[in-house]
Amino acid sequence: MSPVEPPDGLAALQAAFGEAIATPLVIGGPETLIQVERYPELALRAVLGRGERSGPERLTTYNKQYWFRLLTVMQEEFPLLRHLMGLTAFNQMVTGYLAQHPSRSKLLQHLSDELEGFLATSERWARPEWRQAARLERLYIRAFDAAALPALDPAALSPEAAAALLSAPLRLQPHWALFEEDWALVSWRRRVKDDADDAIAVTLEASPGRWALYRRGRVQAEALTAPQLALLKRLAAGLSLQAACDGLTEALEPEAMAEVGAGIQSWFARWVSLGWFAAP
Amino acid sequence: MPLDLTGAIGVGLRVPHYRHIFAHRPDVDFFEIISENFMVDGGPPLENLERILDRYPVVQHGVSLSIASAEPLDFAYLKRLKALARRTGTPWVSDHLCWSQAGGRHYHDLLPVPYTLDIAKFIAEKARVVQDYLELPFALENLSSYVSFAESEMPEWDFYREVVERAGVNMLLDVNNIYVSSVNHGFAPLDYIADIPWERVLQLHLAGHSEQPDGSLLDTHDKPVKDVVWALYREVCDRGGLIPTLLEWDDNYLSFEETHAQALLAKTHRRDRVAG
Repeated sequence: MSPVEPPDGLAALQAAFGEAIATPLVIGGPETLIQVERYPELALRAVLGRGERSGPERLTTYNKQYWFRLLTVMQEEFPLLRHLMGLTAFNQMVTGYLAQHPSRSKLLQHLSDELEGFLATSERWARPEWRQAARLERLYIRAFDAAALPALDPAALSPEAAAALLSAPLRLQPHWALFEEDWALVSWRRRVKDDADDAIAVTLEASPGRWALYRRGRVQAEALTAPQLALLKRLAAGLSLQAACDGLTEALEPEAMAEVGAGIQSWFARWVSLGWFAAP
Repeated sequence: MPLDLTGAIGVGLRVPHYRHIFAHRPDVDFFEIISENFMVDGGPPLENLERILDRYPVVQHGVSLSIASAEPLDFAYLKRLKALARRTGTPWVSDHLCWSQAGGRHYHDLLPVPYTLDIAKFIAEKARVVQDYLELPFALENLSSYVSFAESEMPEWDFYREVVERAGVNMLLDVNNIYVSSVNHGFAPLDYIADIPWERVLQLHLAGHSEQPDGSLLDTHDKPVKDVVWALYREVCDRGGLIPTLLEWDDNYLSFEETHAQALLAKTHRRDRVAG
C-alpha cells in the first residue's frame, strides 16, 4: 500500500497549530496565564476571528483544553505525588514535564512514561521522595492493565512438571513488580488516592518498606521481608527456585538465611495462591 | 446473523456506571465503547468488557485515529483496533473527522482542518484504506470546533460529504456537534443537514454542551441535551429515519438510570415525527 501524500502545507499548519495549543500555561499566580504571544505566527495567520473573538482568542480554547485534559489525567494517576507536592507545584511540574516530554502515544497510559527520569534530572523537582512516589504510581498504572498469563497451579501439573518447578526458571506475571521505599509511600497512597479535594495532609517520615505490587481484581501491594525481597529479586531475574535459594547464602546474613529455610515453603505457597507466577 | 440496531437507543459505556449495570442488568439496546480504553493487554477494562459483551451489543467509537493528520496511518494502532473489533463484534467502527497528532507528537484532542478539496481528497484516501483494512463499515463523525481557517474553501457539511462519498465510507452524525459548531461559526444547523446522504449515516450522537461567557459553546458532554438540540434531532429523524442513537455523557456523571432515561428521551422526540 503506497502512502498517500498530504497536501502542501498541511504538515506545517498542523505542527504550528499543535505548538500553539501546547504552549505552556503560566500556573501559580492569581490567575492562570495564557501565552498567546508565544503562538507560532503561522497558526495565528491561519485562524479566523468571529464576532468579538479574534483568531488567537479562539485558539486559546484549544490551548486551555489541552492543558486541562492532560493535567487532569496526571492528577488522577498520581494522587500521592500530587499530595506530596501540593496541587499548584504538581501542575507546574507536569507542565514542565510535558513541555520537555510531549506525548508520543495515542494511549494516555503512556503519558507519564518518562516522568521518573524527568524528576531525576530536573533541578527543581529532584527530591528523592517525589521520584520514589512517581515510580510507585507508575507501577500502579502499569499493573492496572498489563497482561495476566494463566496462573501456576502446582496441583494441576504432572508429577514430572511439578518436580521440574524447582529447577526451571519461574515466570512472574507481567503485572507483578517489586517496589522498595524509604518512606511509607504505599501506605500513604492508599490513604490519599480517593482524596480528590486534597484534604489530607501527608507528612512523610523515614520508614523503609519492601513490596510486591500485583493485580488480583484490583492492584494490590503485599509487604515483604528482606529475605523474601532478596529471593523474589532473584526469581524475577530468571533464576529457578533452587538456584535463587542457593545463591542467597552470599547475599544474606545467617539469621536471614535461617528465616528463608523456615519460611520458603509457606512463602511460595502464598505467592502461588496470589497468582504471582505464570503456568509453565 | 448481522446485528440490527435500527432505531436502537444506546448509552456510552463509562466506568462510574459499571456497578449498576452489572448488578441490575438494565434493558439497554446497545453500549458504545471508546475503543482506546480497551486497547490494553489485560486487567479490569477487558474483564468488564467481557461481562458487557455477554449481555449487550457493543459498537466501537475511537478518538485517536487522527485520520486528518498529515502523517501516515498507524497500522500498529489499526491492527489493535481490528483485533478489538473482532472481540466485540461491533457492526461498524467509527472515529472523528479530525487530527490529533503532528510530528510524532500527540495532542489528545479532536482538532479541525481547513475545508479544502485537496484535504478532503487526502482524508478520503486514508479513510478508504482504513475501511478496507478493518473489513467493517467505517464511519467518520463531525466535530464540534472552535476555530475556522482562512484557507477553507467550502462549508463543513460539503467537506464532510466530500470525504465520505469519495472514500465510500459512512457518517456518524453528532447532532449536538452540529449545533455547537453552528453557534461558534455562525451557520444555520438546518443548512448542515439539508444535503446529508442519509443512506450513509450509521449512527447519531447526542450530548449536552456548555455556554461560555462570550456566547460560544463547548462540547462538554456533562449536561442534559438542550432543547435546541432535541429540536434539531427531530429534524434529523424526519430526514434520516430510525438511525441508531447514542447519548454521550463524560463528566459530572448522573446515575446510570438517569443517564439512560435521558437517552430514552430520544424515542419520545422522534416517535411523533417518524411514526407517520
